[in-house]
Amino acid sequence: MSPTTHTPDTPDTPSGRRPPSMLRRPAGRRPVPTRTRLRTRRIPLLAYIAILLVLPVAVLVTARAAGWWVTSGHVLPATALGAPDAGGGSGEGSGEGSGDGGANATIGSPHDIKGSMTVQQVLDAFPAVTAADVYQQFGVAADTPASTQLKQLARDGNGYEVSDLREWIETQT
Amino acid sequence: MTTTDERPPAATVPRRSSTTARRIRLARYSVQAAVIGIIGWQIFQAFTADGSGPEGLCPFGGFETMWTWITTGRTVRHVHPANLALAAAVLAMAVAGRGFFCGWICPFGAIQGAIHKTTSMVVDRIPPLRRWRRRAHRVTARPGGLARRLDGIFRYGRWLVLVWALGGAAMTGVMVFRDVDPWAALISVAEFEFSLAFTVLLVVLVLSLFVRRPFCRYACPLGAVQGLVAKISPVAIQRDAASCLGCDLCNQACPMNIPVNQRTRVTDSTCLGCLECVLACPSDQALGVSVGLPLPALRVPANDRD
Repeated sequence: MSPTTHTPDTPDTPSGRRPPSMLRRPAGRRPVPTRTRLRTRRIPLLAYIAILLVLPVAVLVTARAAGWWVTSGHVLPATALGAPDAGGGSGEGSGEGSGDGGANATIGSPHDIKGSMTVQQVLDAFPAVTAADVYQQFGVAADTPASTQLKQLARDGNGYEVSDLREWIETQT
Repeated sequence: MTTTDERPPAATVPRRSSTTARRIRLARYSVQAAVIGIIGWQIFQAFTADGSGPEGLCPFGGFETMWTWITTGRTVRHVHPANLALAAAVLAMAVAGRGFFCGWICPFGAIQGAIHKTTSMVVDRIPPLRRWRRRAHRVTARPGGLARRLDGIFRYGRWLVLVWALGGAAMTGVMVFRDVDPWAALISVAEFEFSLAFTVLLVVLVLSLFVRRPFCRYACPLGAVQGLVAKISPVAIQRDAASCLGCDLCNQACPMNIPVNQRTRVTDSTCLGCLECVLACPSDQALGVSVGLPLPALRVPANDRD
């Protein structure tokens, strides 16, 4: 096939013929020279893309296998109020999250309460608190299921926030 | 492949298949759409109060909590172990493919790109807008012009945001960046809260109409992290002057305005790894991805040059 002048980005010629397989450098164009001290080897484009798409999947599968794939701050309510040494999630700092292990953490203090927890989880962790108290604080109906998440109560209620509940429970215990 | 300065430019070069370029672009858009779909599903689940929300799917949260996690073994609020796993995945990708995450996976980058692409398609079909764009391009693309200088200055914003976000999270134990994070606002859009972050989101989306990937260029701390890590990456897009036509199509295709045709290896920290420059190149051999080791380059024998 004879060389032709380069025409940018033309997949097909108007006549329907296949585009030329060789391109001629436009007259007057002087590409900037290249220079590298590296020993380089070209990677096939498709292989490069495939590797980079598989790589994060491999990392995440490994993380999941190692029990690191925890996407929420759900806390197990295994610890009743006053139980000694609540474990990984029993942080003193109110600004801290799920901590080591995430889902395996437990509630040690009101600061561990999260919006993703259900009312029942709070009741299990703090026996001194009743469901009626919680519903009253949030200003929601008394027949709300105990399986409702606290953030849902905050959404449906009178503006009472989960942080307010933490402070209130602290005063109750 | 070894690149030297000595090979004379070829008079003719093999043409790149446009079919391959189309397929690769389709693959990229499909990956981005799939990621946006997953995030959208998480937002829907969080809205229905059954799910955990998409916060656990943000890799930058992993970087924000890194210091706290290393020093105390805990994570800052709103960050979960999954964020750390994602941060590790992004780090691995940055080493192996520089900004590949930004160009192929990041849903916020994809949204900005989609907005700009849609705008371009509309402008292409309306002649007065097309003329206005051409005039604006002449002004903004002038080398050494005010627009170029401002663009260069604003790009330092990524580093400032990175230092502030990581430093603030390390010192206070709170994700300080979250209050202005447009991505956090986008994934919380179901809560209908008009916050500072939501304002930033609106600004970014409006800017996306005129500028390609404005948040990625000027403010994305995750892109800055990858830019740093990419310094040790042996992989880069490499240009071969002997096959380069000097047509500038690679420069025009680059969403970050990197002057690809003036580089031997594209090692800029802003490179998104989207491969648009490679796909736009009409020459089959001029641009490609290569792995380079810091070893003395081999000279190409004279009889192997063509």
